[in-house]
Amino acid sequence: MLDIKNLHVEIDGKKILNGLDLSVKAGEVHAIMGPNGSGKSTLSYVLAGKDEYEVTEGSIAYNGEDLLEMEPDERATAGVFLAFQYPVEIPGVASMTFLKAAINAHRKARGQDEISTPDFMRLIKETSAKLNVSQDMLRRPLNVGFSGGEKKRNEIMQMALLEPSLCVLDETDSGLDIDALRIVSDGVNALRGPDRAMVVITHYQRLLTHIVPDVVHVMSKGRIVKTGGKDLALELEKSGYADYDAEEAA
Amino acid sequence: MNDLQKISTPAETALITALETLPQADGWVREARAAAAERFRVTGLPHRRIEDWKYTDLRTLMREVAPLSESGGAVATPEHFADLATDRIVVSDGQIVAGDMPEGVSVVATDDLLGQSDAWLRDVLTAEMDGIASPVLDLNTALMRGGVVIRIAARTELTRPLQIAFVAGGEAEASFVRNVISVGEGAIAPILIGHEGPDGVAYQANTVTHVEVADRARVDLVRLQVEGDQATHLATVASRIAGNAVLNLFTITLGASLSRTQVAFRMEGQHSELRFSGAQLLRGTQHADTTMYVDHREPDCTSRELYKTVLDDKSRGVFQGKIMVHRDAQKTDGRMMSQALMLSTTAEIDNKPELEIYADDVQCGHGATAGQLDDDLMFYLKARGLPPAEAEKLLIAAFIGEAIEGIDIEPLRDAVSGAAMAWLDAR
Repeated sequence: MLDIKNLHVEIDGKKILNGLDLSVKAGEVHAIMGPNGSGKSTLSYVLAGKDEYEVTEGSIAYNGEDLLEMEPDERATAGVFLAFQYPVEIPGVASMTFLKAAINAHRKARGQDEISTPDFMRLIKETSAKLNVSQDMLRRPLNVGFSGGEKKRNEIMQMALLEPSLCVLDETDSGLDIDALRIVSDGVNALRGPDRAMVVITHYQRLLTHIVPDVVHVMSKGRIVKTGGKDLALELEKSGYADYDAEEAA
Repeated sequence: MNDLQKISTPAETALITALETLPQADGWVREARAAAAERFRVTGLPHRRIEDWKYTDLRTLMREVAPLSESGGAVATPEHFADLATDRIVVSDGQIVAGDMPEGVSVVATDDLLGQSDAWLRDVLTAEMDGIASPVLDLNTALMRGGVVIRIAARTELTRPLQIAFVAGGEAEASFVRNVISVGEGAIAPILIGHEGPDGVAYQANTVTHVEVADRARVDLVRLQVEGDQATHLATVASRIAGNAVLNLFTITLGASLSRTQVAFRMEGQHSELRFSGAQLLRGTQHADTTMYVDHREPDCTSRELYKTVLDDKSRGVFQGKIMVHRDAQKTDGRMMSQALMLSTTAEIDNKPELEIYADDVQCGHGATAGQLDDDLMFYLKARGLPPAEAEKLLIAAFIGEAIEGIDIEPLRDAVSGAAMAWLDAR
């Protein structure tokens, strides 16, 4: 589904990714771990199409198409979803208005009519209940006054509503307490399926006890330096990232 | 005093010629017209060296003057906000068409009261009022014709809005309309004023509207300027607010190629509340100026101003706001905020907030910002599948929505939202 080859990315002339390779098949969950500054979040933004990142070399194929040629909104409607590490607050935009606009943008891209109001309300009610997103949150402007945990639950609710085929979760565990972590993880696990792939970016192992990955990668200095099974995460938890930084520096 | 010979522009020469034959009048009306005409002969049109008009140089912007309108043309039908459930008064080409008005509401032609040299009207029109004096007001006073006087009796509670539709006819004419809306003690009055006219016609509308708010009255006034795309709209709103009263005024500027909306409030009583909010949505080469003056003369009043300007293409927006707090106006609480959203790099905003405070126990503040759409917000919306145009629309609507939320009367708020959305849809 996702095939990244020799990806080099710069921002403001600073090299962040230096020849990253990653291949993810439908149905798989890949975890990407690594120390701060290793380029994990950059990878997520490049996949979603943020424009201040400049790709200087390499390619990203998504379902056989050149992802780098697609605009951010085209990537989204083609099934790429980024759960943001820091979801933005948008004062003045009602959560419900935003959700309806997002759902309809996806429907339009598929050639479907706009969702009817009763169908929309039913869909929101079902999905929000599963992720413990309250009616009060939905009445507020998007993410405004939400706690860290509420913002993350809102991200996963959007993921559930938009039914993407490639989910990129950027540090979804940051700022979550144990209960919120469980709710979010259950929400993510419910979306696992044979047609869907997930890239879970995290600094800590604890998320991966809830969302158990098929493959674990370690990133350092803009490249993937080690790949293994789910046990690799546990190993890292014990030894830390120091080895990888040192290895690169040597 | 000034020995230099002033050179008049063709527009000024035409206006001075027009002022040679003032409308027939007696008594105070004749004096007022003559005095205003004389002042205009001295000043001419305001220009950029006059501080108040620095950003709206009428001398340069108004190259020509349309012939004065002749009353008696066909009454044009309003096209905007035509299907609202309101009690409607249409003012067009010097004529007034009103249906049955609710009890307590009287509607008369300003011309009738002027013809009688009515003393009450004199008191309203000549009342001392800082912040509105200008050659534009003088032109109106010298030539005023074809307006409406609406009086709402004390303790009247209007259950649905009063709608006053000023409709320009199809001719490229200049009109000088003078209106009074007088709201009696304890009355409750939601009011919608529309200024509209046809596209493609270079008409010039100079309107002055006095809004008198008596003790304990509550007035919710929404003013929608949707003039035709070639129009010049010069408006003055002068409001005297008595004690324990509330005035919530919202103005939105959408139409006209050149407009100036000058709004002044004189807080004459204690414990009154003024809210003034609005928006200017500009495109093409539109020039729109909203200039506001709040005159706090008595203690314990509050004023809140929130103004939003959205600028596209090569448009130019101006917001000037001044809060004046006199020495006796202790415990004044005044806040003013003006924000501009620039959608193009060729647009221009001139934002000038001012405070002048002579009392020592007050809370006053002002702010002014200008910015573009936030890249991070745009990216977030696009990452959820919204095409750039739709993402922009949502963020612009949110920006102006903050001001629109200040309208408390639902049908009035809906009318403004609808007009703003139509502007966004046409982008």
